[in-house]
Amino acid sequence: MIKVEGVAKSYGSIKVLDNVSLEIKAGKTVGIVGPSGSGKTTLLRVIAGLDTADRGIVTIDGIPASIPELVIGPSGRNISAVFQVPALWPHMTVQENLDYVHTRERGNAKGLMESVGLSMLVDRNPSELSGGEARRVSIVRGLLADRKYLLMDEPLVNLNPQLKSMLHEVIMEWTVGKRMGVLYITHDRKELDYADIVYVLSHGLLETES
Amino acid sequence: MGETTVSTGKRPDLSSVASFILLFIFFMPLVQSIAQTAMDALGDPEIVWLAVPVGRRLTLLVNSFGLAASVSLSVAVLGVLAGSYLLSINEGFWGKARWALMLTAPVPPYIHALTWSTTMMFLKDSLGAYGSSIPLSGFFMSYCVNVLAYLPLGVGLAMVGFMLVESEAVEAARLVKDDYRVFTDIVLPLAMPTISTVLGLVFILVVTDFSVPTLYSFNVYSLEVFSEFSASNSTSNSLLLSLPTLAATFALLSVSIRGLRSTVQSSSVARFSGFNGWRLPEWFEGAQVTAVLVCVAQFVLLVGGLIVETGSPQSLWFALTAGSDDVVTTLIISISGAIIGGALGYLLMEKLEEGAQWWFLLSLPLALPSSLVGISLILGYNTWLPAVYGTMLMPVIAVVTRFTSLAAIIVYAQKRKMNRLLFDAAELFEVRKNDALWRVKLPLQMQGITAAALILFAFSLGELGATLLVVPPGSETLTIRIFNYLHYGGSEEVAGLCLVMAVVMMTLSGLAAYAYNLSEGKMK
Repeated sequence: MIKVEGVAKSYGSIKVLDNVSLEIKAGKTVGIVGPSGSGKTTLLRVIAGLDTADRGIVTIDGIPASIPELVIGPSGRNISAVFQVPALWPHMTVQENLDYVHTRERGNAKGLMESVGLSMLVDRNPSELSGGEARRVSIVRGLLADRKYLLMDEPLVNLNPQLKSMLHEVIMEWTVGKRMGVLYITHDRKELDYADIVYVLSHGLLETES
Repeated sequence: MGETTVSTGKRPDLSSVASFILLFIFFMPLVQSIAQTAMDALGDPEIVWLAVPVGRRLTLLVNSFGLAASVSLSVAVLGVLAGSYLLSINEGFWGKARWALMLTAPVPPYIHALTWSTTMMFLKDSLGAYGSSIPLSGFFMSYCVNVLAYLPLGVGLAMVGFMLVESEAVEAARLVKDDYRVFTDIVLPLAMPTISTVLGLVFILVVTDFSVPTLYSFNVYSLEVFSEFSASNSTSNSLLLSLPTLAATFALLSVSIRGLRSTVQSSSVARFSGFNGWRLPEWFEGAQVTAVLVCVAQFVLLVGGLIVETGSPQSLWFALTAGSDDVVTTLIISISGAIIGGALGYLLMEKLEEGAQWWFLLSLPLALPSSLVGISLILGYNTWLPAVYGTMLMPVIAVVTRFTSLAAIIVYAQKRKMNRLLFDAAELFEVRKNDALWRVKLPLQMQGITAAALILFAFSLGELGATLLVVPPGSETLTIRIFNYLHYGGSEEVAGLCLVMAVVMMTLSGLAAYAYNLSEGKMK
C-alpha cells in the first residue's frame, strides 16, 4: 500500500498541496479530479519520488520513501506511470521503448499492443507516430512495466470518445487482472466511474467526493 | 468604410542582400584564391604535390590531428562530467555562480598559455628534483593549455545539450531504471547531437590554430601554412598545403552542423530541470567533481595568475599607456566588426531557416584556418579593391568574415525561442510598410542582436591569425602585441595587457548572456 500522510508543498507563496493524505491499496483504483493548477500533477510527482514535498511522509509497503526528503529513489518505489505527455524516448523504436521497461515475456507486450490496435507500429520511431498513437504506446509502456503501482496523469486527454472507451477497458482489465494499485488523475469525472474511491483536489486541499 | 491598400509587389529580401554582401567580402577572395591555385597548378603541376602530406609534413599533420583529437575528446568528456554536476546545483548563489565558469569562453588560448606556463615553472621549481620530469614545452603543454581554454565552451554546450532533453522522457525512465542507467541510456544519447558539436568544433578550432603550439615549440601543420605564405608569398602554395586539414575540417563541420542545428532548433522545447537529487555511483560523482575542479582551476589560474603576474596597479597602468595606440586600433576593429557583423548576422539569420546548405556555407569561415582567411583576403582585395587593401578596413573585414556566422546563429537561436505567431501576426496586421520590421521584429529580437554583437566584439578582440596578415603597415592590435611579447617570455607588461583583455572579454560575454536571458524573460 502507498500511504501519503500530511503532504504539503508550496511554490513561493502559492500553496500547491496542503496537508494531503490518502492511501492506494493493491488492486484498488483511487481517482483524483480537480481543475488545472489544483496540484494533481505535483502530488503524482511527490508520490513517484520525482519531486520532494515541504512536509509529510510517503510510505510504500510500510517503508518510508519520502520523509519528506527522498529515502527511496524513483526506480526503487515499485511504481510505473503514464504522464500527461507521451514522453516516449525518441532515440528508441516503439518496441525498444517497451523492452526498456519490460524485460520478461514479450508476448504480453504483443498482446497489449494488439489490444490497443498498434501491433503494426512496433518498429517505428516515436517521431513517426501520430499524437494519439504515441499516447497509446505510452499507456502500454506504463502498463507493461512490472510494477505494483501505476500512477496516471490525464492518460486519455485529447483522444476521441471511441478510443477513450477502448483504452479505458484495456487499462481496467489489465490493472484489475494484475491487482495493481492505481492512482488515476483527471479533470474529466466520467473517466473515474470505475474507481473505488474518488477525491477532489482543489486549491491544494484533498477531500472525498460527496 | 476605410480605404485599404493591397500590396502585391514582392519586398526586397534583406537576408539575400546580406548574404550577397557576405559572399562578396569573404567568398569572392576565396573563390579567387581557388581560381589562382588552379591556374598555377596548370602552369606548374609539380606544386600539386604540396597537397600530399609526406615526410616532415606528414609528421606535422599527425601532430596536428593527434593534438586536436586528444583535446576535443578530453574537453567533451570533462564537459559532460562537469556539465552534469553543475546541472545538479539549481538553486541559490551557486546556482547562478556556476555560469561564471563559462565567462572565460572567448579568452583565446594564448592568454591561458601565459598563466599555465608560469604555474608549471613554479611547480617545477618547487618540486626540486621531482619536478625535473615536468615538460615545459611540446605536446603536453599545448594539450593542457588547449583543454583549459576550450573547457568553458565544452561545459557550456554540454549543459545546453542536457537542458534540451525532454524532461518527461527522463522522468519516465527514472521510474523503471536506476539514475546511472537513465543517464547513460536516455540523457546521454539524447544530448549527443550537442556533445558531438563540442567534439567537432573543438577539433576544428585546435587543428586550425598555431598560436599555442608555436609558443611551446610543438610543430603543427597550420604553422606550416603560415610559414609557407610568409616565405613564398604564394596563395596557391598555402591553399594547396591547407588541403589535408581542410578535408578534415569540412567533414567534421558537416557532422557538427547537424548537431548545432538540432541544438538551436530545439531551443523551444521544455527544458530538463537538471540532476538535482539523482543517485549516481560514487566513482561517477568523483569523476564529476574532478571535472568541476579542473573547470574552476582554469578560471582561478587565468584570473588569479594574471593578477599576481601583473603585480601592481602601476604595472597595469604602464602596460596600458605603453600600448595605448594598440588599444585604440583594437577597439576600432572590434567595435566596427561587432556593429557590422551584428547587423549582418540579423539579416543572415533568415537564411538559416532555409536548410542545411546555408548552415554549411555560413559556418565555413569558422572552419577555415584563420591564416588562410587572411591570405585569401590579401589576394582578393589586392586585386579587386586596392583602395581598401592596406587600410584599417581590412582587419574589420577579417573579423566580420570570421565571426558573422556566429552572430547569425545566436540571433537565430533567440528567434527560435519565440512564438512564431508573433512574427506572423505582425506581418498580417501590418498597416504601414515596414511596420512589422521596425515595431515588432526588431524590438523583439534586439536582445538577441545585442548578445550577438557583444560576443562578436569579444571574439574580435582575440582574433590573431587573419588580423596578423591584413593589419595595415605600422599598426598593431593588442592581440598581436601580446603574441609578440609571449615569444620572449612572460613579463609584467604582457600580463597586464592579458589581464585587461581577459576582463573585457569576460565582461562582454557576461553582458551577452544577460541580454540573451532578458529576451527569455520577455517571452514568459
